[in-house]
Amino acid sequence: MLQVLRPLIVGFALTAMGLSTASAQTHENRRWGFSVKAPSSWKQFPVKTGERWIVDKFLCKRAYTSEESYAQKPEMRVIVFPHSRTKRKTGNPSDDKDQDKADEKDEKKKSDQPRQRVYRNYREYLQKTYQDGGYFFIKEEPGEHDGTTIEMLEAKVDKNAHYGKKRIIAWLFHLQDCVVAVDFNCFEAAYKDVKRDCYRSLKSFKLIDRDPELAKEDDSSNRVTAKAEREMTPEERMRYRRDQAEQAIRRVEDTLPDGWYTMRSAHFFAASNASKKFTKKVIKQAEAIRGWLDENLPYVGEDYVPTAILRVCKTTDDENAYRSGSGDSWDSVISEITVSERSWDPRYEMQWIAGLVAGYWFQQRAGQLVEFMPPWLRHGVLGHIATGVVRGKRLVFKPVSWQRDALRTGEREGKILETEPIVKMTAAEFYKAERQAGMTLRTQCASLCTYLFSKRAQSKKKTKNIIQRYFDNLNVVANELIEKTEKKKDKFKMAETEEEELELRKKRRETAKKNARFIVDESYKRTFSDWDGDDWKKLHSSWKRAAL
Amino acid sequence: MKRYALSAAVWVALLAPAALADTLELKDGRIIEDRKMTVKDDGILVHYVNGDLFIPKNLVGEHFAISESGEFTPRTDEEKEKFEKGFVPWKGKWIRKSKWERERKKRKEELAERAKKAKAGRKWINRLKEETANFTFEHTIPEETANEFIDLFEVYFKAFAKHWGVRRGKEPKLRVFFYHDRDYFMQRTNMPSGVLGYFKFFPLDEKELNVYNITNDREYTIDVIFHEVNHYLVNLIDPKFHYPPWVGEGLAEYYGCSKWDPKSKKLTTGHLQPGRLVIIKDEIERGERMSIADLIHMEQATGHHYTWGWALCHFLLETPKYAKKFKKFVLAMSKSRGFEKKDFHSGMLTVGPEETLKQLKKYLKVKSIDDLEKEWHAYVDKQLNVNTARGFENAARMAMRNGLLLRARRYYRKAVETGDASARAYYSYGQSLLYGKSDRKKAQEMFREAIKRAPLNAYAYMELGRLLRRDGKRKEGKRLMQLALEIEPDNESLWFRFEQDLDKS
Repeated sequence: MLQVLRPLIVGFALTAMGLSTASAQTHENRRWGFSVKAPSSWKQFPVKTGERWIVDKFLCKRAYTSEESYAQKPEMRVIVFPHSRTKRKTGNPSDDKDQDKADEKDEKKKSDQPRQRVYRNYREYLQKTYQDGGYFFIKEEPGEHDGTTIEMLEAKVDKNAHYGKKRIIAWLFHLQDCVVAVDFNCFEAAYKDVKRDCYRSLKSFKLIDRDPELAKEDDSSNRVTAKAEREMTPEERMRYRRDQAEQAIRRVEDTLPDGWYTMRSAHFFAASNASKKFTKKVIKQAEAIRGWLDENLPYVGEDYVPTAILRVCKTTDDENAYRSGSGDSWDSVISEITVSERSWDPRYEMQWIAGLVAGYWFQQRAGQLVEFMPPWLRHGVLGHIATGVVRGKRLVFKPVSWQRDALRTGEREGKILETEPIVKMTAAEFYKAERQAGMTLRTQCASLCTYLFSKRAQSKKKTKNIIQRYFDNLNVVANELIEKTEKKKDKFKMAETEEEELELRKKRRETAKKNARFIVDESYKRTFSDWDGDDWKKLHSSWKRAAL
Repeated sequence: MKRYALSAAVWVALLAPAALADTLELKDGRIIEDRKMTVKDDGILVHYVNGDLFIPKNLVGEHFAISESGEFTPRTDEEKEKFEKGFVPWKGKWIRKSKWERERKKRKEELAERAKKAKAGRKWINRLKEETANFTFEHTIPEETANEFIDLFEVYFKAFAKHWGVRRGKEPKLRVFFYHDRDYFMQRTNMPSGVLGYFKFFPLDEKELNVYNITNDREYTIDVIFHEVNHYLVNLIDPKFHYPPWVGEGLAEYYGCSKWDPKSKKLTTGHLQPGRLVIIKDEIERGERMSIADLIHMEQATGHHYTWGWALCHFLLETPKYAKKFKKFVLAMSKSRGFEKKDFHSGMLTVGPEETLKQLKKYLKVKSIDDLEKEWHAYVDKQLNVNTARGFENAARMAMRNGLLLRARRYYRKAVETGDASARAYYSYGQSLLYGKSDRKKAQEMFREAIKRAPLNAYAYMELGRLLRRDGKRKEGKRLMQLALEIEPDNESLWFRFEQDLDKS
C-alpha cells in the first residue's frame, strides 16, 4: 500500500517551468526570468501534456512545400535546461550537497517513480530527440546579446530527411541557473523566407523579473511506475488515476493558447483548434464508442477508466507538430488521443478515434487481461470496434472499403483461413500465418467479431454471447496461469553449468510456448466444449455469407 | 658536441619534465583535452583529478598540443657547461636560448593549431574529402586512419573485381561517408542505434555508403566496411538486378570477415564468421537445421540470411568442386536470359525461389538439392569451428545475445587464453565472471587487464570501482568510478551505473 500517495498528491506544478502568460506572440517566463517574441504571423501552439523541457511552441501561419512536395509549417520552440536538472552528482559530498538535500526531501524517492530522461544541453537534446533527418552544424558561434552570453547555431538537415531537407536555427541563452534554447525548424525551401523573422525573434529575447514564488514550486512529477500502480488496491488506483487525469486536464486548461478552446463530456476532455462542428463530432464518436464498450463489454476487467484527453487539430500538420516533443512525455495514465480535421485521408478519422478509444479503454480497464488475449480476439474485437462510426443517432459497425476489398481478394487468392484453426492459434502461430496471408488475417478476425456481435449471431444458440463466454473463461484461465507462475517463481535458480544453462533456456522457451498454448487451448475448450466440426463449418459459412 | 638523436617525446621530456601537454588526439580520433599531461618515453601520462592514465605511444595520434612550461634542466657536466654559456638543445643541435624560446613558441602555436584542427575536423562542415580511382570519401576521422581505410577500399574493389570479373563502367564512383564515432553517425544519418553502417542503392544515381569508426575495435570497423562495400560490389554486377537475400547477405558476410593487412595491403577471404557460426550451432542443437529450400524461399531478408546464408556461400565458395560453378551461377542470375526473372521494385528485377533452386541444381551439377544439402550440413558440422581470439570473442557476443551467459563466459575465457584477445574481450570476460557463481577476484583481474590494453576504457574503471566498493575498498572504488566519469563525462550509461551504485550505499 502506498500511504505516501494520499498526502502527497499535489497539483502538478503547472507554472514551475514558467509557461507563457503573455500574448499569443510572446513567451513571457516569470519562473526563469525571460521573454521572447515569436515572429508576427506565427501562433502559439500547445505542448504535449507531461512535456518537461519544451515550455512553449509557435507555428508559422503559412505552410511551405519541400522539394518532395510535402507541406509543413515552420516551428519555433522555447526549451529550458535548468542546471538543477542537467547537473550530475559527482559522488563528492561538497559538490553534491544541494542535490542530496533535494533527494532527502523526497522520502519515497526513486523506486516507485519512472526514471526520467536527462538532457544535459541543447546539442545532446537535439541528438537524442530530433528525428526529422540527419543533420550537421554549419554555424556554431559564441556571442553576446544584451549582456547575456549566447551561442548561435545553424544546422542543415540533409540526410534521410523526412519529407524534405530542413534547416535548424537556434540561439542558446546562458542564464545564471539555466540555459534557454530558442530554436526554429523549417524546410530548406522556406529558409530564405523565414530567416529574417527568425533572427528578429531571437533578438527580441530579454531578461525580465522573476517571480520568486514560482521558483519555490516543485516541478517534479508524482507519477509512479506501472509496477507500483499494479500493486495499489483498486480504490487507490482509481484515486491515483483520477487525480493524474485531472492534473493533466488542468495543465491543458492553464496552458491553452489563443485559438484553442476546450469542451468536456462525460468521459472526455477535448482541446481543439478545429471547427466546433468537427470537435463535437469527435466527442460524439468517442462517447458513443465508450458507451458501447461500457454497455457491451462490462465483463472485461473492472478497473477505473479515467477521463481521456482528445486533442483535436485543424490539420495533420498541427497534429504532427503537437505530437513532436522530448520523448519522455508519454504516460500510460494521461493518454491523449489526437486526430485532425483536415487529415490526409479524412475518410478514416472516426474509425481512427474508435480504435484509439477502444485501445485506451481496454488498457485501463483490464491491462493485465489484455496481455493474455489471443491474437484472434485482440485483433478481432479491437478491429471490430474500430469500424464503428456514429451515423445520426446510432453507432454503426461497418467495414471500410479497403477491408472489404482485402477480404474479397483474400477469398480469390485462397488466403481466407477456416475459423476454428484461427481461434486456436497462439501469437507465434498467428503471426507466422500472417506472413503468408498478409493483412487478410487480421481483417478476417475483425470481420468475424463483427459477425459474432451482430443480431444474427446473437439470435443463434451456439453463438449467443459467445464473446462474453470466451472472455469469462479467458479471465479464469489467465488467473490460473498467474497463480501457477507465482508458485513456481521461488523455484527459479541460476544455472551453474553450461548444460544447465542450455537446459534452463530450453525450459523457459518451452514454458513460454506451453503457457501460450494453455491460454488458447483452455479458453477454447471451456468456451466451445459443446461445439463439433459441423458447428464450426456453420459458423464459418455464416460469417462468409455476411462478410463477403 | 653530443648529438641528440632522441625521439621527440624524449626531447620534450628532457626540456620540461613537469606536467605539460593539454590536448591529445588518439589514432582512433578521440580527443582528450584540458588535462595536464606528462610526456614519457613510451607514451603520455594524462593527469585526471581522480588518477593518472598512461596512454602508450601506439595509441597516440600524430597531432597533439603541448603547453610547455618549465625550463631545460641540464643533467650532465657537459650540459651544464653549454647551458651556462646560454645554449639549450633543440632537434639534435645546441642553439641560443633566445632562438630556442622563439622556436618553442612557434612550435606551441603550431601544435595548438593542429589540436584545434583535429577537434574541428570532427565537425561535418570541416570534413576532409578524398577521391580515389573508384570512390569519393568524406570523413571526420583522423587522416592517418582514413588513409589506411581508403587503401582498404581500393584493394577490396580490385580483388572483388578480379574474382568476379566486374567493372565499374559508367557507374559513378561510390560516395563513402565515414564518421568518427557512433553518436555522430546516428546524428548525421538519423539511423537508429544498432545500425553499424549501410549501403543505399536507391535512387540509382544517389548510391552511397555510410559507416563509422567503432571505438576500440578497428577489426570490427573493417568487418562492417567489408560487408557494406560488398553490397555495392555485388550491385555492380548488374545495378538493375536485386540479388535475393541468401546471395546478397550471404556474400556480404562471406567477404565481411576478410582479413586485411595494411602493411602488405593484401586481403584474404574465406575466413570464419564465428558469431554467426555460434548461432548456427545453437540452432542445430535445438533441432532447427535450415534447409536450402527454406533458406531460398525466404524472399525477405531475415537473420537467417546472415547466418545460414553465410554458411551456404562459404561452403559453395570454399569447396573446390563448387567454387567456380557457384560464381558462374551468381553471375548468370543477373546476366543470363536463361533465368526466368520477375519484377522486384522500381524497375529492378530479381529471380524467384523455384527458378533459383532449379538453376542452382543445374549450375552446380548436383543430382538433387537434397544431396547438396547433406553435403552442406556435413560441412557445417565438421569443417566450421571457432579457433581464434577474435572468433571466440564474436562467438561470446552472440552467445550473450542468445542469453547463454555461461557459454559466453567460456568463449571469452578461450579468447583470453589465446593471449591475443582484445581489451573488450577482457572486459566482457570480467563481466561474465560476475554471473551466477561469481569469481570477483578474477573479474577484478580481467578489468585490470582490459585497462592495461585500453587505458581509456571507462567501463572497465567503472566496473572495477564497483567491485572494489563491494569488497570494502570503498574509497579506491569510488575514485575509479569517478575516473570513469572523467574519461567519458557524456556517457549516460556510466552515469546510470554510478548513480545506482551510490544510491545503494
